[in-house]
Amino acid sequence: MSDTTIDIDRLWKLLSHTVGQEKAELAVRSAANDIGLSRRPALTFDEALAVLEKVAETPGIVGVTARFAKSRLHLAAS
Amino acid sequence: MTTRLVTAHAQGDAAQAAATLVDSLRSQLDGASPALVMFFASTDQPVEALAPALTEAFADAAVLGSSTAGEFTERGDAKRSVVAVAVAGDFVVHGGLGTALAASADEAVKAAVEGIPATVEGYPHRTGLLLLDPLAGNGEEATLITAAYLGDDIRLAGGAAGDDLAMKRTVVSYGARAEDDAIVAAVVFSKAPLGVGVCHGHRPISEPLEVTRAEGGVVHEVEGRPAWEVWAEHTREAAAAVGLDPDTLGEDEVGGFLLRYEAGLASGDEYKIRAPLSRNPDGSLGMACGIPQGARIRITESVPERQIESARTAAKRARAQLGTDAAGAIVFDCICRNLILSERFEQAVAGISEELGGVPLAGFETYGEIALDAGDLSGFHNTTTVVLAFPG
Repeated sequence: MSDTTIDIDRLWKLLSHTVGQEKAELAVRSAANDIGLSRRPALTFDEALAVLEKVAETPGIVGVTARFAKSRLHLAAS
Repeated sequence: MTTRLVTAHAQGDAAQAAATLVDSLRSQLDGASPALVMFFASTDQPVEALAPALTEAFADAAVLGSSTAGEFTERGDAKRSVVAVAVAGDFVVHGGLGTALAASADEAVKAAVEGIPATVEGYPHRTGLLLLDPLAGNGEEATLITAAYLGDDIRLAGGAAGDDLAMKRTVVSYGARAEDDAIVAAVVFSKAPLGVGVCHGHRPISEPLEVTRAEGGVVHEVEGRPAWEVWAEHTREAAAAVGLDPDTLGEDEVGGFLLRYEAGLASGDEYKIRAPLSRNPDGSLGMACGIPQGARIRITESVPERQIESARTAAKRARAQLGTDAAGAIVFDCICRNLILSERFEQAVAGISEELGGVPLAGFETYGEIALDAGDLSGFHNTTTVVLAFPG
């Protein structure tokens, strides 16, 4: 798992089914920027989780979807 | 043990209807004890009155109930009535109810699932059942939170309660307890897998539109203008083709109109449909499930042929997951499909039963449908048919 890299595009696609493409991409890229990962097209697994955890701080459906996406990311990685 | 799934339909006041349902279900069960009983009731037969009666009659079963916008069995659909389904066989069912859903989906779901065991020895398969109040405006959050609590391998099926298009108060029940602003969650533990199939038949009729102001379950503005104003503009032509005019709707007609023309959220090549349920005095729209500010939507519609075909597709998908013949099904079907299909809705219901082998089924017309498979990223749907098939 430590060698796994995750394309940042994959992260917003985890959210897009619930909040739509545009909002999902905006939320993920904004979160990545907030924690200093915006210039990284590929993230480590822990970095990807950190981005989703940042998005999960958003109130409402965006945050809930990010929380759920974290568990789906774990499921996919296991 | 062979599964026995039986259905019943009743009219009259709640006491009469409860007695009729109990007699009919018991007669058909012929001594078998159901693990699960569900009932779906119009506002003429309050859930608060039916829940205690059915819970007392089927004391060893998990009894779940919901108010509806219409109800049906394999024998046809009806309004102002109640239908019930009882399932006996190799099943164990545990569940609960949580309240104050609008204030906190997390706390409500937590309360609903707290009595559900993680496993039941000898019953390796788990399928979650959800009934919730869509007027709380957080159907998708509640669905995803439920899946998170119940575990990554859970599959969910269910529906959002209705109230005969009044859009005022929708009620769900577990056991003898009935509440609005609530969620009911149950898990069916089984020896063989159940089948969950889902399909919608909508297509976009507008260009992409940005939700420029939204909060919780309310879309205030689209493209900088009141949401209703934009809806009316983009639906006027399609509505005229079916004899509707958004500019002259009575207040009691707005809910039905909005359920025909719903929002589509682009997700890859598909659209996740989101239903507006009500128009507020300021022109904002109350949604069954929030659409975040900044999202781009397209207003959608569906035509009767696509609605009938999508119901069959949902049944096919459910049957494919069973691995055996179906004993019957519980169906959660959006009220908007009944509005679009009108007298052809019975044809759609009959198609579901045919696809499953001519089996009994019971269901209700919902304000939202729930279907989430292990690995899915979203579980709350609108304008969709969800078929939960039980193995024979």
